[in-house]
Amino acid sequence: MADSLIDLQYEFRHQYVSRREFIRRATALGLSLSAAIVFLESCGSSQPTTPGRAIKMGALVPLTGFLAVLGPAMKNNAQMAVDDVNGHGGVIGSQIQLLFEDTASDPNTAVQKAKKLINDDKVDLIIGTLSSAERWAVALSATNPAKAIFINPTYYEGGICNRYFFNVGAVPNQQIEPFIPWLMENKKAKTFFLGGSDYAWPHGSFAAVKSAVAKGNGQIVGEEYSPLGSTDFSGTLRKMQAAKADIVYPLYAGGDGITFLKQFVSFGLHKTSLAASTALSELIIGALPLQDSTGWVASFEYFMTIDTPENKDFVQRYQAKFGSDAIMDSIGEGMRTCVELYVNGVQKAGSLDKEKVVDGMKAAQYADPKGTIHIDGSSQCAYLNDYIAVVAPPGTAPAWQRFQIVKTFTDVKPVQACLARPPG
Amino acid sequence: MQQALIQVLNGLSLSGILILVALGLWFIFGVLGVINLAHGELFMLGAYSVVVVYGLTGSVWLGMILAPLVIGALGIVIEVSVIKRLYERPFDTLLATWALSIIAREGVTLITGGAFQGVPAPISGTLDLAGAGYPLYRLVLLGFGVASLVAAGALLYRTRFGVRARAVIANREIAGALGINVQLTDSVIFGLGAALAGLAGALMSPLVTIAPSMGLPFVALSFLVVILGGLRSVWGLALGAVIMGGGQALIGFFTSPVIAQIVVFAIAILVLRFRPRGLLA
Repeated sequence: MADSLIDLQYEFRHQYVSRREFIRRATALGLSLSAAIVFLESCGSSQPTTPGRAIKMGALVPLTGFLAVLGPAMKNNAQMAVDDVNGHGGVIGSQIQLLFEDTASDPNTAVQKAKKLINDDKVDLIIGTLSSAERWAVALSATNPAKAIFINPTYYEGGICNRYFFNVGAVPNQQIEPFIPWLMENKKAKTFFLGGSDYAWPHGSFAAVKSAVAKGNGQIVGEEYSPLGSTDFSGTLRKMQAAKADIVYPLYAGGDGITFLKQFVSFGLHKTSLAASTALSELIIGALPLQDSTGWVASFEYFMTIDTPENKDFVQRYQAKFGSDAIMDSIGEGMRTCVELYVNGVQKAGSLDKEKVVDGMKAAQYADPKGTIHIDGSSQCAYLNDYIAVVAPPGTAPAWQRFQIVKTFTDVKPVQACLARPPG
Repeated sequence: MQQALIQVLNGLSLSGILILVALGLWFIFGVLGVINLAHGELFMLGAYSVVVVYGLTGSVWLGMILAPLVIGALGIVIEVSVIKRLYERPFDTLLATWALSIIAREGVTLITGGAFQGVPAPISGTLDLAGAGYPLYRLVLLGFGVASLVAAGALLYRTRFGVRARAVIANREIAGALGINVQLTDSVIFGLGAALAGLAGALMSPLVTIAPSMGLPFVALSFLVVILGGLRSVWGLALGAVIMGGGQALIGFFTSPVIAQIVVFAIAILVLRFRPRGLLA
């Protein structure tokens, strides 16, 4: 052992290098060092601050997993809104580059993708997330710590408060508070059975439903939560049968919602209880057999059937671009609202500086297919209309046209309490 | 009394569904010793077969008849091309079947775009039981579950093929030496297991949302049912399914679905702790 070490030392000390060899080695070293320096420089450099550079917009969308039914509408709307802006020369001379990432309907994946967008792709903002689980995870673990702009398109139970977080989806006081009294008055409803998936959004929303029902002297006759990804709801349906509630209010996320409604119908419950919910959208109704959903009631900040020239034109353009059977719900359309909010904020700020854009967004006012959007400065949520629609009997028209809007509450101011953690 | 009857029925129909799904797994895991992580995807493809046939012909029944044939054939193809090479290597079969499951899921997503599908139940309407309606189709499912169980038992214990299959399980080498075509028996069993998974998917398709990821919750449950009941006989499987399904229904009725799921899995863990070979080993 010792011998070989001595041999090695001898070898190193007495190595003979010719001049030619020395020059060759030195040149190689020098070249590789300079190449490395140039490479590192270009990698680690922050965005150049010259105006006219592309805006990078990250979009977190569920393209796989149990929420996948709602993903394509989000993706399409974001794409169309960005194409519209870029087609008009971009904003303050800058084109928008959209980067989509699939959350796989999973909050962990959503956080990883958000961090990738912020740290690796160096996006200017993130729009999207569908489920509240994804939203809270991304806000608390990724965008809030990084002070990254995050705009949410989806109606949710509210509660995320941060200077860099904006919400253009409905919060309970906009979506639920007008809905319950309308149901109690127009559908003669006194008793409610609440069924939902076991996470933040149903818990938070049902809290709002319960207080609204209590105010109207109604009664909650059941409240039951099922794990996400449940495939069998027979126990809950049995209890609903026994309770004989006037209204069954299902808040099951994504595919679970479709499964529940299928089984709801198979038990014949649709004949004795009315299904009313802030989750019965165009994308959910479309997956069920046509006649079963007749008479069901929904409340959203957007429907494809909103009867204004602007919305009709928008829907026509959307279907021309994505296919005549392409449909969207309020979450999908909300992605457009997110894109436009950022664009407006940049225009008001006159620059891409993050702080100025945030202030610009707080003061934004712009047109959107669902109405004129302006932001409430304290909650950083949008003033929204609430539309209540009843599902008409099936005819020859496509399923989405069956939503008949029967009541509109205009320009409802958003009110939310700030929470440090998600409810439930 | 009526409540109790309805609850028992709920539990039984849940068990019936579990039996259907787990039976295919039992053949492949219990008989061949292969941990088939793609079982949920065979289930899913069975459901999609119904969607395709329904879209082409408008008949859900036809889809349910064709699905096990199609998926069974697919199972034989998988066995011959992939599984056959990996019988002595359990970890590699785990990896290979997991890879197949990913390929199947993503493949279906690519082809269909990931949108959710639905098919109507071939039998709608309810049976009036104790003053409340009970879906007729669920009772049909329960019937199918029991029938498949009986058929599987008959196949294994009353047919010549069943004798050969049991010989192969007992001792592959000797069975081969006695002139039994072990390779063929393996392929047929795997195909049978796959066909059963496809049938389960097809029969379940009117009850759940049809999506590429629909098989995942079922594969976990079916493994649990098979392990709980023990690999010895199909009656163990039935017992496992009744415990899981009945337990879920009963506990869920008195508490909530979330608690029911936790308790049922806890029971499964306890059983495995004290009887690792399953209840009927």
